Amino acid sequence: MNPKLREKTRESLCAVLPITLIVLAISVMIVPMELGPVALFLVGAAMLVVGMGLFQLGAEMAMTPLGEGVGAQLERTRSVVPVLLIAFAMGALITIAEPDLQVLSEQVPAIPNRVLIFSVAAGVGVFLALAVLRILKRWPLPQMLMALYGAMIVLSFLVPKSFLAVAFDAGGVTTGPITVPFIMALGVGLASGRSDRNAASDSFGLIALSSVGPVLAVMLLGCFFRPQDAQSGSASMQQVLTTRDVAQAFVSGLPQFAKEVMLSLLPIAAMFAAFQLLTHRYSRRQRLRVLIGFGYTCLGLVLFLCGVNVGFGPVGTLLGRSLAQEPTRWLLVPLGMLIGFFIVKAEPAIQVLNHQIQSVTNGAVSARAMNLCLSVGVCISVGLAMLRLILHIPIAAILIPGYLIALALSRLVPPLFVGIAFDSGGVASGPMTTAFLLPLSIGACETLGGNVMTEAFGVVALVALTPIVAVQLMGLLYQVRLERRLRHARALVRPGMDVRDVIVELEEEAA
Amino acid sequence: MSGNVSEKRRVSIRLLMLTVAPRLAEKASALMERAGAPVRMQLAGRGTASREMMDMLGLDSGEKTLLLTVLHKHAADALLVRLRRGLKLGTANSGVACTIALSGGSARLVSLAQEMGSAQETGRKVMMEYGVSLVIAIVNQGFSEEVMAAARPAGATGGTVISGRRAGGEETLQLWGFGVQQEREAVLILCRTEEKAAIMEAVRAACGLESEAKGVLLSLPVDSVAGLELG
Repeated sequence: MNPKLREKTRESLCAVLPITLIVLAISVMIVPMELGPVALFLVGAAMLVVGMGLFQLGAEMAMTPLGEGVGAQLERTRSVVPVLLIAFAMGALITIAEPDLQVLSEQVPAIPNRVLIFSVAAGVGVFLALAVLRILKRWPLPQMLMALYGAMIVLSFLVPKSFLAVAFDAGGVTTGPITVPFIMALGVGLASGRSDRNAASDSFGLIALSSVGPVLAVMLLGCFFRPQDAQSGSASMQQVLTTRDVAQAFVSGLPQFAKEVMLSLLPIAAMFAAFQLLTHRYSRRQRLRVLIGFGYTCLGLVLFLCGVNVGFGPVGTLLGRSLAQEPTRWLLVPLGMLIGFFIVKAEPAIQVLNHQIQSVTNGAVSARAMNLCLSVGVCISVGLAMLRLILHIPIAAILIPGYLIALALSRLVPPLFVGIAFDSGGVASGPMTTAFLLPLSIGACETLGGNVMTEAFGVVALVALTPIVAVQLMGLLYQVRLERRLRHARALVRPGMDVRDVIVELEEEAA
Repeated sequence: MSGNVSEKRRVSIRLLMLTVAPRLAEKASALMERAGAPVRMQLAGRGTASREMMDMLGLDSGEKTLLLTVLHKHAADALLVRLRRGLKLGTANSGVACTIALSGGSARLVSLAQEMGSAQETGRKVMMEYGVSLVIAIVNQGFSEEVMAAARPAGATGGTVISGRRAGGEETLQLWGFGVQQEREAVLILCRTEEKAAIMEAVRAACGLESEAKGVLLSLPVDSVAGLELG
């Protein structure tokens, strides 16, 4: 078998299999389920494996070279204004097309859909432009994050309580699987031609800043419209009995997801065409590769989204509903943590992020370390989310201290890790979270008799928060290890060895 | 310490350069550490596509990791053998390693390498029935495929690309307060010494300074290799 194909297959199996097996085990041992939803789930898992592999391959071939190219070119543009305009337009266009945003807008009926979508898109645009400006002007990232996240926390006190969870969720939701690889690569491209020491750490932080935009935008809207209550798109469950029902569920889902994915890839494809016409950066061979990559991305995402929404969503809801019943209620927390630990690996953008980090840091931050860190982070966040459902803790009571800790840590950790940490927060909450964890907590919340809008929502925000803390803690650990390494290296020097710092000219020994 | 004058020493120090698939990088690094390599440096590179069709479909093995270390000749040769065995160098999609003679270095580095090397027994030299050279072509961003396309008919079997940028020089654009440099790519090709001249000439003709690639070429003598499959 082709080694690349084998590697990708192994990667996507490693991402999808654990969560599949865990959910199956839970359904056998704790929450017996009808075979219908389980059949949907298994077919969904198979689609996830294929979709994930294709998506990774496509992102690598299309999104990464395109983002890097645009970034490298932007850096060479001589004046600030066009750069900011381009960054704004890119951020806004990508966001308008993001399928998750459409879903979010349905959930907040008090605000007209268009108003919500356009203001979130403008939010991402403005903040992406700001993030690009930051790299170009070399403003330090920790201070900027401090100011913006600080503003976000202050504003959160002015927003109607019922609205807070949705506002924070918006930040995690808008940076989806199409946006992430592109924006990440844009950062790498922006820093690629630089000759100063901060180039590597400056390639991160774009996603971190871009996900503040939507949160602020939705909060501001909340202040204006004063929505009394928001509504959850309650999961309607079809009866699935026969194999034909299973096939039908997926087949009827496919066109809708195909349309969504095409719509969201369109602006990026158009950007590629315009960019190539203007700069002639890519050779014939590279152009073809990018086009084939777009094909892979598109097909992969359609399969992935269809699999997760049709196959995983209903099982999530069922699982939440039955676990929340009396005898097993407290099992929600440990089982949620177990699911959280393994689910983050199945987020499509996570692997792209980890690879990018590994290559930018030349392996200093390995994909394995990142995976572990994110798993621990999301494990804790799902645990907290479930605890919150049972004890009815308001979201602000967790989010605000959480962000304060994250900001405090950013003063202590090497800047590279600050950028990576805040980026991974936005990346960790993708379609897997919205299509599986959210239904799970909505299901649990309904059974526990809580308010879906204030309690079930917010799980996305939590998933976006804990990786920030976890990755920064890894940064601290890294620093300690580095110092130990240096001590070890010094210990190699034995007494009596020539330790003067002089240059030695070497001659070959006689053979 | 005043008046540091450089000194001469009669000792054979080697730069060992290993190019492997990233999945093997950690194991390779551990093998190097066990061999007592005092400093190791890691670089990210990518392999050059061997088959156009597979490359188009994105199925060609892309990323490579370069590991560099400095060792005494004896230790370097022993490490080559261990790397070849441990990483199965020479099999498909594993990697290749070579050593290059160094002509100078910081005293501390040389002393460390010397100390480690003296512990090795001699005479474990990797046998090579032909001389090997390392050809390096430095071209503008995006031209590495053209370099390989020109080098292949002249006898090159594969290469590794490292992305970089031009440093210094007057063409530096001082934008935004920091230097923005032109992106460049270095293509490293291991080949038989007897084919070296032909390969360099072929690449110069296709991607030389007169061409859009603005390529410059150089070559280094290679002391020993492991995992190189030359027809």
